[in-house]
Amino acid sequence: MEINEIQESEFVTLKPVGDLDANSSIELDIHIRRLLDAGQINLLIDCAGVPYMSSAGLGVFVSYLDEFKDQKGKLVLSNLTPNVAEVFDLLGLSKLVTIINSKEEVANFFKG
Amino acid sequence: MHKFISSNLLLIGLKPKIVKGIIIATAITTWLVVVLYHILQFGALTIFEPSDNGIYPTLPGYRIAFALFLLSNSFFIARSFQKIEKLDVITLLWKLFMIGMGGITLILLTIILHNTTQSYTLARYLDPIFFSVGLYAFLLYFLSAIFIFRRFVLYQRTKRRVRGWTVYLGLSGIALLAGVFPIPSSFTPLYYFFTGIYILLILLLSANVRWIAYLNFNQKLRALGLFSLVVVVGITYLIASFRFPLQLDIPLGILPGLFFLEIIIIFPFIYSVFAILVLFFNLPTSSIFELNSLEIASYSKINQAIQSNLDFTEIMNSLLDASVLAGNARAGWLEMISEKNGQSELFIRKRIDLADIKEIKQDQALTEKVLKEQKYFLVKNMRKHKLFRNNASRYKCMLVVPIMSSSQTYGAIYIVNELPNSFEDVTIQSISNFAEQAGIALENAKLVKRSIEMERYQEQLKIAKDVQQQLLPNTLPTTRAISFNAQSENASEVGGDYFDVLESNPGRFKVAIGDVSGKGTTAAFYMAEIKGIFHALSRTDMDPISFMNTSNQALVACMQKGFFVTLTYLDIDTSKKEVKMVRAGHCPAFYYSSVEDKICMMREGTLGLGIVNGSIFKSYNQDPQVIHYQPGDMMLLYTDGIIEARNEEGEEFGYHRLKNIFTAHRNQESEELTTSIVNGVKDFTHSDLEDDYTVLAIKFM
Repeated sequence: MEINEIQESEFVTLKPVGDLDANSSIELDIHIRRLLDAGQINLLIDCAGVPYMSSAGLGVFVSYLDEFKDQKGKLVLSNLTPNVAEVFDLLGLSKLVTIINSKEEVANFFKG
Repeated sequence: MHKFISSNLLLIGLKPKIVKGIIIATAITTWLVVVLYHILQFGALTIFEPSDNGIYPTLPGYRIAFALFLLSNSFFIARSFQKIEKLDVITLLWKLFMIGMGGITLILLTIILHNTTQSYTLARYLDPIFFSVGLYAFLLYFLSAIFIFRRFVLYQRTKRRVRGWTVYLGLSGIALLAGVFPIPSSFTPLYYFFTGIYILLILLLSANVRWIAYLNFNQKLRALGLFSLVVVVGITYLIASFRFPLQLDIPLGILPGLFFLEIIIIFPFIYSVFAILVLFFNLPTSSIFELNSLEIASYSKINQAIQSNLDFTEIMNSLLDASVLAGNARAGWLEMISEKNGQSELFIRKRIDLADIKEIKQDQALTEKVLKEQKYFLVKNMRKHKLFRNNASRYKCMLVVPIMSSSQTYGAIYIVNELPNSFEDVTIQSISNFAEQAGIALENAKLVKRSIEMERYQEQLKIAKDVQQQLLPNTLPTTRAISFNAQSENASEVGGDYFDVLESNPGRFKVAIGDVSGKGTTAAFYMAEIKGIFHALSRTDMDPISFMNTSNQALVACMQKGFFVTLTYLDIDTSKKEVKMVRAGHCPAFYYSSVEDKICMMREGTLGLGIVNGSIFKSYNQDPQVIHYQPGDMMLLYTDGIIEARNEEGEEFGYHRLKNIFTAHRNQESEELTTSIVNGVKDFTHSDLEDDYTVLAIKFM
């Protein structure tokens, strides 16, 4: 899976491209782990390029919920495709993970 | 020929021991008879003058006795050396030499005795005995030589060699007869002709020196020495045979078998000379031959080490030994790529210390270099090489050969020498062969190990599958009021889907359908966990919300991070015709209301289980959805394997297709609905499903 990383002033944007299944989610997991270990605690994950997300993909976000909270970091998801948004919604993850779609709001969220 | 006679004697019913006895007895008797004749002839009668045709007159019967003496002793000596099974060149030559020396000692002894004998009369009777002893020593030495060399000539015997040898024996036999029964001197040209043929045959036989190739340098040297001694002893005998009879006043010409005695010395001498020459010229190349055979031995040693599953260190040890040997190198070592950090590490070293290795390498990553280039690296002269010029150790030539297989890199062999330019192409080739062999072998060993592990893993998976099959219910209850039907399949050996129906009280049914995130063994274990929770809690009168809270608490405590469970829980009371449902992150159920003839999706729900801890989970609690059903209503529960099943175009089966099938079969029995759904999904994907799937239909009556 291809994961593009863009360094913004307040946060880092990750843009995974492709399905997030059992195999590719490991790559995303490693990527996030590396950023967290490097002290990068503000992450925006742009899911525009993810047409499908399996339960293992969801598991990646689930596994970091506590850690971001403990480190007082922020994990934001944006541009979820309808399919992925549905899965998030059904599992109840939309209640736990911040999902923001507009760019300005994202910027404001990380500033605030 | 002796064999022929022996076997004939055997045929007339004599045991080998008796045959041997007869031969020995004949040999001794005939010798004694000959000694007696000599005493009579030379001591008592002294008839020495030859007649006109050059033939000495002899006592009657002497010629026959002498012929028998020669024949029986030939058989006796031939027999003594008949049973040489293993060709031990050195031992045989040593034996021959000792026989020769023994004879010479005897002859010297008789000379001393002859010289000290004062009485003339006594000497007349003693001298013929001395003469006979000398004659026997001569005969014994050369016949022994012939029959020992026979073993050499017939080494790796072929039909042609055996035939050549038989002809040689035949000709010798003729020579014996011709000597004993004299032919007048007018036949001399015939003797020359015969001798010519005889020598020619011996020359052909003497070319058989193949055994030399199998001796190592040391053995060749010793064989060379022994052959020379054998020749020296032979020459001593020749000299003695001319001078000793003269001293005893016995004319040699009187011996009836003289021609035979002359002719039998030819073969031992010619063969010895041949052997000496071949041995001598083979000496310088023998070390190369030895090296080659050592190389072959090393090959098989490496192979054996690998095949017998010896430990890795042993394989590497033989590889290094073989390489140092083949390269004729002063020292060597072996570096392996560590599985932990991918760095090369010194594994074993031979005749070199760590400081020297460090000095030679000059901090170059040579192992990595040869593995990357997949080619050996040779520094012919380190003093002239720009990278190794500073090397202050005594080593000036270095060869590095990679150890790798087609798919894996293992390490490299290093060999070093003090002399520049000391590793030839042949050496490099040999060591590359070793390394390749070792690489293939290591790869094979790894594959074998992996396949054994896989087999064990498969076995365990099979057990896990059996266990899991037992975790899911075989049949679901069907009563007048309600019927359940479910179909479930795992994509891999073990899956993460779970469903169960339990009648806690009469008319009271608890239903669970769930899915563990991910697939495979881990998922299967969590699934077993859920079953435990479900069976424990559903028997109590716990309300659905508490059921979920308690389940979540139990799962959060035991599950790995990133894993979670989605679960839908139903509490059905058929007496009240009431269904209470809580959906925890699971796929929403479809409900068919027969009164409204409408299918709706029941999306209300809470978080999946095992994601957040108790208090947060509780904060998202929602009241259960309550349905008061009518007969003919139907409910459809399923896992995401159904919705997410994809066709060749990557399109998902989705909710709408599921709803369509439900609509089509809404008035049928629960079993028909589940079967139609499974078939519908399979028709859609045209292949086996990638995920686990479960469908569960409930028909209310």
